[in-house]
Amino acid sequence: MKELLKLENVRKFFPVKGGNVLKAVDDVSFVVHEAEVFGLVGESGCGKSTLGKLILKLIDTTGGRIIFDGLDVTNARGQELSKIRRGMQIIFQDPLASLNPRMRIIDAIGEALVVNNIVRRKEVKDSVADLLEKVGLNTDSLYKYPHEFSGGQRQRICIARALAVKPKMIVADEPLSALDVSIQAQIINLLDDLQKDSGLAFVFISHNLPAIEHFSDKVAVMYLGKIVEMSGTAELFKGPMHPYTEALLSAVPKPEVGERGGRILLEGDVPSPVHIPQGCPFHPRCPKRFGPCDKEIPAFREVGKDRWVACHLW
Amino acid sequence: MHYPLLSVEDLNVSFTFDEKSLKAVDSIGFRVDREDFFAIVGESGSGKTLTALSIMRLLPPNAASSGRIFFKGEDILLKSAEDLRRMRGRDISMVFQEPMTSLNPVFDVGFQIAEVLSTHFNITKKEAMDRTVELLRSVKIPSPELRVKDYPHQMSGGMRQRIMIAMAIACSPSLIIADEPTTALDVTIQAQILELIGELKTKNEMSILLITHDLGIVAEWARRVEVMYAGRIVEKASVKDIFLNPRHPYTRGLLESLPKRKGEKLIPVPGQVPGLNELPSGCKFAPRCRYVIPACREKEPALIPVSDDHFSRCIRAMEI
Repeated sequence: MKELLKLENVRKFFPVKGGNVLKAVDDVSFVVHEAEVFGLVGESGCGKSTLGKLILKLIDTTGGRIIFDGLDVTNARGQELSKIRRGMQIIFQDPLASLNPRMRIIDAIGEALVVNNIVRRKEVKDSVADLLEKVGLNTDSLYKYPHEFSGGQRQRICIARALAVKPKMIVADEPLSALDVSIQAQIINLLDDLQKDSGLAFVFISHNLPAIEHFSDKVAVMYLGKIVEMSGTAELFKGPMHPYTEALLSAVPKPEVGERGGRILLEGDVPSPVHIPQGCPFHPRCPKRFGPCDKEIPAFREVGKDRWVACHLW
Repeated sequence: MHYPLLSVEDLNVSFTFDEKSLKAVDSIGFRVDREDFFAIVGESGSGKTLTALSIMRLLPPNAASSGRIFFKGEDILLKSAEDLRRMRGRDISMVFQEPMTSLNPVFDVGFQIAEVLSTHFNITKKEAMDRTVELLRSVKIPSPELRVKDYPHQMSGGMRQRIMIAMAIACSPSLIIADEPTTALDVTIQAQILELIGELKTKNEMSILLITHDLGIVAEWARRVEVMYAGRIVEKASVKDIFLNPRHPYTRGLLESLPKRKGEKLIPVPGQVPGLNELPSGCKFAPRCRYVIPACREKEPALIPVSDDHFSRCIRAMEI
């Protein structure tokens, strides 16, 4: 499969008060192939949303390189950037905040079609209707405003708008978090269908581990701005290698009756990304820390076929 | 005389808007025993939080409740304002979803916990402060004697929720109502907080009434559970029965919509929760139900027993 998105040592540092820097994303590298779903998982503040924004160049990188479909995103401007963004789109957590409350759906989605010269003005209505149908909404929706829809329907509208430019990839940043459980399944199935039918690639950013396991082909786990483990989904969920991944997976409450067992309780909270601990950033909370952990930063390296981990244990 | 700790009977909550009355909670009933762990599960708008607020008598002014809520044999809905003040915090306390909005940002956390103690007990400032430090220790806040001076903004979300829990257990109540206590937290912190609640429950011999949308938490912690939909109880059973033998299509739908392994198609519940002003006649779940038959739309089904201590509001409960 062809490489579609490639990140090479991507960094994003924010200056903060007192001359410190907040290392939101630090030295992240990975590849997403065509029609592949790349899951990015981590807890609040780990840098996963920042990374999503960097990929679309909604914010600029501090260092490293991002290549999308053979084009350099990192330094793209003007025409070239528009071209890149026709290839990739983003959907966000809160669909109500991503839709203009004063635009009818036909205008909100139609604008994307017209601005990008995808259809002529008189074809807009039919094209928008097609897009709505693709995401499971009927044509009654065309002349309605965002507030007239439920949360799940609004997320469908955002997905339809992202599809308008016929992208090759969608970055989905926590697209389920604002939705009820019964509705989340509807949206997962929709994303699944779109992926299969049109061969869309996804960068699926979520803290919802069961959803990540269900939808992704590959998973990367982030902690304090770095990827600590990356591998095929099945391998990662079956045999996590990094102690953080292990604790994270074990913390998810399982909807099954039986004894709670094997839970690894981490000590304390995630440290501030302004004061990242010396050595391995996870060592103060790590139940398996030993000799080198508080001194040396473990390298992120391939320890088995397509299995990457940053831990002194391996 | 032996009373159950909490017994809610035929509880209704309605809101008045433009002279129209909308029923948000409809004839709810359940019982929480001593040292019980009871869960109410439902999605947004199902009425689960309103049920909790009714027990504390904290409903917003435009909402009215009727029915009976017996706590240790006394009806909470008949209590005077003075009696309620004595009850809240002392006998029943509540932990909310968002600790930042439940704490006062301009007072240090020690002051806020000590205030609960001096409201309910006749003790000196010094005694209240000493007990506060002990409480912080019991919710596992490191260096409690220093952290009492912290303001809420100086703490992480998990720490703040620990403060809320310290406040809730300050007067050793016999019941804690926890309304989505871990929804705002990360999953590794959620695990810590649930473990803490479970530990304190045993140590202080308390009962927990947990309100949540997370079936995983219910499966792991609760003993009995009630599933709410559109203001009604649709199923009530032991946790084991709910997960192994669900007898209401909505419960079944919730369980089936949870993500499974790669490749397995999810079975979502179609459609969406109806608004209070557009509830269908007959069974409220009928428009989204896979098992619907014409009789479902005619009359609202009653909560019928399907086995010992297992009830379902579905006329086809025995067939599905």
